[in-house]
Amino acid sequence: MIPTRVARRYARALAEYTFPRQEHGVVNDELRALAEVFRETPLLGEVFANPVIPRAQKERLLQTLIERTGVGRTTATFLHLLLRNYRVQHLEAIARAFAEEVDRRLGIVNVEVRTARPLPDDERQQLHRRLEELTGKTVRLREIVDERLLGGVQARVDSEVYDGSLDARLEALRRQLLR
Amino acid sequence: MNGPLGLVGSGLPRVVNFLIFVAALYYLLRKPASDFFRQRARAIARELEEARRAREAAARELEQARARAARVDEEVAALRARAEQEAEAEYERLWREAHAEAEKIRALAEREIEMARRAAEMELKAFLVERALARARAVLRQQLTEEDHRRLIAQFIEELAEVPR
Repeated sequence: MIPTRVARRYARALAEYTFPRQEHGVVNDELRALAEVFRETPLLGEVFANPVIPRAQKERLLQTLIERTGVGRTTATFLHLLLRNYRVQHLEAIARAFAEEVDRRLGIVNVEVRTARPLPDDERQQLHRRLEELTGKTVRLREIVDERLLGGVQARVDSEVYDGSLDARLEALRRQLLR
Repeated sequence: MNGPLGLVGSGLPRVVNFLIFVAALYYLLRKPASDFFRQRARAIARELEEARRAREAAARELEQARARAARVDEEVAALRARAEQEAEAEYERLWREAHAEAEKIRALAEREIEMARRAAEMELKAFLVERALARARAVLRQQLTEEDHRRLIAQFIEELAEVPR
């Protein structure tokens, strides 16, 4: 497992390169797609992590991967850099760190919203607006319908959770009664 | 001749002889016998003296024994008094210790009873609360309407407005 710090370092370096060229969006999408390929094919990571396999073979494999996925020149160059530094097998972590870095630079915050039933459109828009007011950033909502919840809403903004669920109220009531 | 002269005539020499024998015996034995009797008298006197001394010593020892006997009674009385005092003090000490120990045991038992009571109370309370909440969850899950959900969401959105940025 690559340390998060290392993944962030690569992510920041790539952001430094792509943002002035307005390539961050494309590269972000390409890296996400590649990370998906790595996730679905664990053998790929194992091959790139294997020190017995010659680098030339890894180069050929990476080139094939680049051609098949049709990634742009910047992403391809970045992948070759990762290969030189023996980091290709950590592509998933680096792609995740890059996505976070892009969001951070664009002022986007990811908010995970859990509800017992799907959010009605009106409420979704109001909640979106209220979350943007609260965070002062552009909010990217990720909705999860969690049938374990009784009712209400739980919103996770980074590491902070705003819990407006009935479950939380019942839990608070339970603690109060047991005091 | 049977008269006294006849006797003299026939026994006088015997008498004279006898007297001479006695005189010779007296002469010969006077000094040793005198010495013997004198020594004997002295020995008897010495024995008498020793007997007297022994009697006096025995009397003294008897007196001392009586005095000792009298003192033994006093010592026995003193020992008995001391033993009684010590026994009483020991009894007091043991009583105090037993009392303190009993007090400690009582306090500990009270604390344990109190803790057990509280634990039982908490357990009962927890049981009742869990039962009540489980019931509340079941009722809510069954009876919450779409309108209730929308109201809860609206309430959450309002509450978010109060969260400090």
